[in-house]
Amino acid sequence: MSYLLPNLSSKEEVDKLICDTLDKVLVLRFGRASDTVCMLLDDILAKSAREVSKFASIAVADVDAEAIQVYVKYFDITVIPATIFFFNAQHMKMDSGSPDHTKWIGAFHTKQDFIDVLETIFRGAMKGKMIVSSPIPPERVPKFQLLYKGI
Amino acid sequence: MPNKQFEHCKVCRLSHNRGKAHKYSSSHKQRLDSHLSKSLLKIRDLSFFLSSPTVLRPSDRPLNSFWCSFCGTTITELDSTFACSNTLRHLASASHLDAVEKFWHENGAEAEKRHLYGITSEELAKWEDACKALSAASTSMELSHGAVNNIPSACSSSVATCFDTLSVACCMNSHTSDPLPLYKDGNSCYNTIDKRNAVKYGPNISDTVFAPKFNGATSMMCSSNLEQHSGRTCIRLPSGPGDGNVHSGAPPPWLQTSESKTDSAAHALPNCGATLSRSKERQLKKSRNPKRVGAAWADKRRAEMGREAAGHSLQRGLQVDKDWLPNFGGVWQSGSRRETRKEFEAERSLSLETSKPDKIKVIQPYVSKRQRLMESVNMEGSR
Repeated sequence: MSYLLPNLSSKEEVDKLICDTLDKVLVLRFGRASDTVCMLLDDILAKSAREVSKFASIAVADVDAEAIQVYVKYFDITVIPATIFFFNAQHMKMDSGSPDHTKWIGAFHTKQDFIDVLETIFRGAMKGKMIVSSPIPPERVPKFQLLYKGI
Repeated sequence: MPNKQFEHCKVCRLSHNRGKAHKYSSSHKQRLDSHLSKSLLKIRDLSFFLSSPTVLRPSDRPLNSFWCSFCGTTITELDSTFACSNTLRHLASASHLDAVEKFWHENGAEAEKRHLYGITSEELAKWEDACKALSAASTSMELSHGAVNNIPSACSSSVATCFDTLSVACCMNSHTSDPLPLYKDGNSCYNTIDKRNAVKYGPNISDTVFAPKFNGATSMMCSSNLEQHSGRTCIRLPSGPGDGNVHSGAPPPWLQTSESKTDSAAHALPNCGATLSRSKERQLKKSRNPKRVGAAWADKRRAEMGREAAGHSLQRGLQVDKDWLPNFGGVWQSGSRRETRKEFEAERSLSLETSKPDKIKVIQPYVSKRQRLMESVNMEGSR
């Protein structure tokens, strides 16, 4: 379903989108269009794109694109799909009980979960908060553990 | 009261016999403004789909309809495959444009704003091209990945393959100087690995943790609906010297933008903030919290974007010959342009005369009058 959303394939496109999305939450999905979990997530993103269009923009980026590798490395994306949120060119973080607050790993359980997350991030950002608590109950948060290498 | 025929004003929803005088009344103008602003909002919502065509699901088709207040018709989307396709076609149609023109004539709205209430044929052609590309992409996707609606079953059936890639990719993760988090599905059957263990076991811990446990985990994943989401794929981080990452607080890549921006990047997404009118912008600025995240950035960037837009139009103007309109150098007060030109030329000739340098006088040494007289007397005496 990624064809329903704007596809970013170069660094300039991603830069431009992050810098020019003002007073709206920007949702960037890093993944592959052929990946099954990405397809699940893309379906949810595409379905909710119109409903959240007044306070959020959604775009997808292909992790296999050569020009995107800068972002893959910066955000340390080792598992796809990884969803990252921005507000006014600031990286928004979310504490969902998982070890990594910088991104959402995996798909959302339902469309409403995704909209709830977006609303929480938007409300938090409008109050000046860089990190927000996830509104999703812990049982619906994809589980993973973080292993630090080289420390 | 003037003795004229009664007419019905659609905007004010009243019958009157004031003739054309009605459309100049303040109450009619107020109602007309609110009517037009409502219509404009609706049409601006549609412009989102004009710039980025979206496939309309069959379940959403009955919910989509558009009331055209100029033509007095409801446009439905029951047979359309793309969102608002019938509406967009209606807005570009000659009948709609005629209706808008008639409305303008009847109600006396501002003529400059009339073009906002329709779509040009070029825009519609561009949208149709985008729709064709989108439909081609969707058919190719469906051919390669099967039916899109069948994602959950496809997901559950391919969990095992996903986990194979997960284990392989995690083992391949290279050692770098940055703190690199690895992800592992946190099912209860897994051994709990914390940061201390990772340090204790060293960098090869992923081999010992991931590889043997996946066979047991796969059946658990398929058992519950929630765990269908867990078949995530691991990817390999790009190798090479890094400047740090989000965990180490490195400067973000989007702020290290190079000066040369491509034109294609400008069309990545339609920017809704840039198209707002000034009054709307002022209202929004008041309502926004000045302490929100990146408020200073947003204000700065918005000003930059405004300047960029103005610079763009200035550059367009520069392409035209500078002498396309003769500059008479003065402020027009009254009379025809010919008179202004003559006045300007007269003023210029006067100013040129006054500014001309005086004739260079030859400086001669001072000779007193008495001395000069004495000299002449002496010369006469010698003769």
